[in-house]
Amino acid sequence: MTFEDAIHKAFIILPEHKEEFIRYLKKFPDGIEKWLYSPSLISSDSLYQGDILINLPTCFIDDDGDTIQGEDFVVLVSNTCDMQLGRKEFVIVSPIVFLDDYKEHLNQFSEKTDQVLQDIRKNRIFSFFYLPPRNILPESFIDFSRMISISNGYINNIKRNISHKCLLSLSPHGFYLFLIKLTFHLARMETLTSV
Amino acid sequence: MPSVIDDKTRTTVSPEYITRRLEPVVDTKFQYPELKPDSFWDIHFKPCYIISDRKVISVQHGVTKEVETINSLITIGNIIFKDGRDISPDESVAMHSYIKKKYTKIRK
Repeated sequence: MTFEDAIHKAFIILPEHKEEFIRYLKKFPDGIEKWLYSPSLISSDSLYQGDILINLPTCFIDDDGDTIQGEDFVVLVSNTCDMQLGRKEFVIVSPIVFLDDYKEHLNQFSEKTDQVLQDIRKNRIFSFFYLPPRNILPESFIDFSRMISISNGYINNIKRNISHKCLLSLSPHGFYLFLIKLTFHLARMETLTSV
Repeated sequence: MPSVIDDKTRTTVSPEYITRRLEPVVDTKFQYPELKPDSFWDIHFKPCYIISDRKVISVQHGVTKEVETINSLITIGNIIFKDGRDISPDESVAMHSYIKKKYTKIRK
């Protein structure tokens, strides 16, 4: 399957977006800062897959089986339709890591910090999705390996009542790239007979 | 609820089969008035039965398009992430260190 064939066969990409998306991807990974985010979608009343929210409580289970908790910028991973209030009990989110914070630790453990940062910026690490800076979001990446669930009611309450915490939405093309990377991270090629 | 033709097996399926085995119930007229049943596959990929005017009008599996779509996305990924790689041990240790510093441990 050629690159163009794959774009045309991906039914999730709307027909009117395909040609422009092909043009963008031919330059990929350069230039995503120009088309990754939507200038207006975040101000709508709905939550969208790929939306970025700031300072949400998060928790994980560590090596000892203990809970570790903190606060993160997060990206909404659940399907847009599943995030409607009353549709699903929980919303899946992935934490966002600020590049400068990670760099501080890379400097201690890697001799190739600059190269690693370049790999992240070029979206070369499978489990990371690079986020160029925008508004108060510094240069960052989504860590798909640490997805967690947060109450749907809590997220919708933020959208309705603390809307300044809903920082950014992805553009349609940014959303497609997000889905491609998420699929690439989680799924492997299937054949029709294996389904 | 009348029997309908399953689009995959081309056999008649009973209402009991539909209600027990397939989900979700989708009423194209009331829930997705802008969609025709055929285009429903584009957004929902699980086996489903389509209802219009509160009657079952077709059963669709959508498996073929699901596989095509996922394979297409993976194919695009294979091309644009062709220089990609997994996180290295050094980077993983750095992430472990980052997590340890960033989060507070809640002891049982």
